[in-house]
Amino acid sequence: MALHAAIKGKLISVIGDEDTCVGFLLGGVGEINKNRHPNFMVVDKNTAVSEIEDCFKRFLKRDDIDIILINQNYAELIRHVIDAHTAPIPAVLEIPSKDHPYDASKDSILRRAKGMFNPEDLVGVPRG
Amino acid sequence: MPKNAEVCRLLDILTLDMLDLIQQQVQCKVDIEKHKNEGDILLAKARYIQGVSSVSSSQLPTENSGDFQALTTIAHSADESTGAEKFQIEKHPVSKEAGYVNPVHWFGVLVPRCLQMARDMFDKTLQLVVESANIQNELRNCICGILSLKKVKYDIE
Repeated sequence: MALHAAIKGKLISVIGDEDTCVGFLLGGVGEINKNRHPNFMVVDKNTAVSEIEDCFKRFLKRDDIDIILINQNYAELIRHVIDAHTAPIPAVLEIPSKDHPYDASKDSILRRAKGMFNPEDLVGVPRG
Repeated sequence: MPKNAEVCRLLDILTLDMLDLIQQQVQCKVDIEKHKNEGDILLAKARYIQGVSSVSSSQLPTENSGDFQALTTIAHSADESTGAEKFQIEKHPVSKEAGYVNPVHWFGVLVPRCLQMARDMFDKTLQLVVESANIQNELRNCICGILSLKKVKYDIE
């Protein structure tokens, strides 16, 4: 059993609306471990922002999770926590949901990349 | 100490790499959206056939259900060209003894074809998700590289 645990791959966790969670769990990412902790959270209109934030922080602390999938509209609610996470693992991926199409301008990593283009750096040395 | 011109040349290369990675990442996210939308439509079709509440989050296991293992997990491998770590999808066969259950069975024994097609579509989406995670990590490394080179450049100046 110890050997099995050692070679076992890491998990993909999901924080999303009903369709996102049902879909990705159908794809086989869902797991409930021995401590009865699931790696997914279904968010509905009654879910408080603090619950999403707590769940996200819990997933960040788990060492068996490599990728956290979160609907971009829910990522917007906890943007400060997502922006504060700079470690490569777990990788936080913002995905679109049924009602909210993907918006690249809101994506954390793409905003960081955009921030690299400092106008002062783009000013070239005068020629001639 | 590296010369300013050499640092600027490296910065140019990394900046172009970053632009390329941004383009790849946006394209990957658009593909994820396309596949996910198709999966959502197939889920809606399954609901139409089976009933609204038969394909919903109420069928998903909860903390009170028994424990089970994920059929799809992530493995790490080193990229041959860059040496950076890459994610790879790992599939496990269904085996009740080992705790690998078939998720389709949460929604009934005789499920409509659309639900199986939805599963296949989300399976493809997961492959794109892993590809996107790899691009994101490359992009992160690229940003770190640019930041450290900029620091070197300002130190030289």
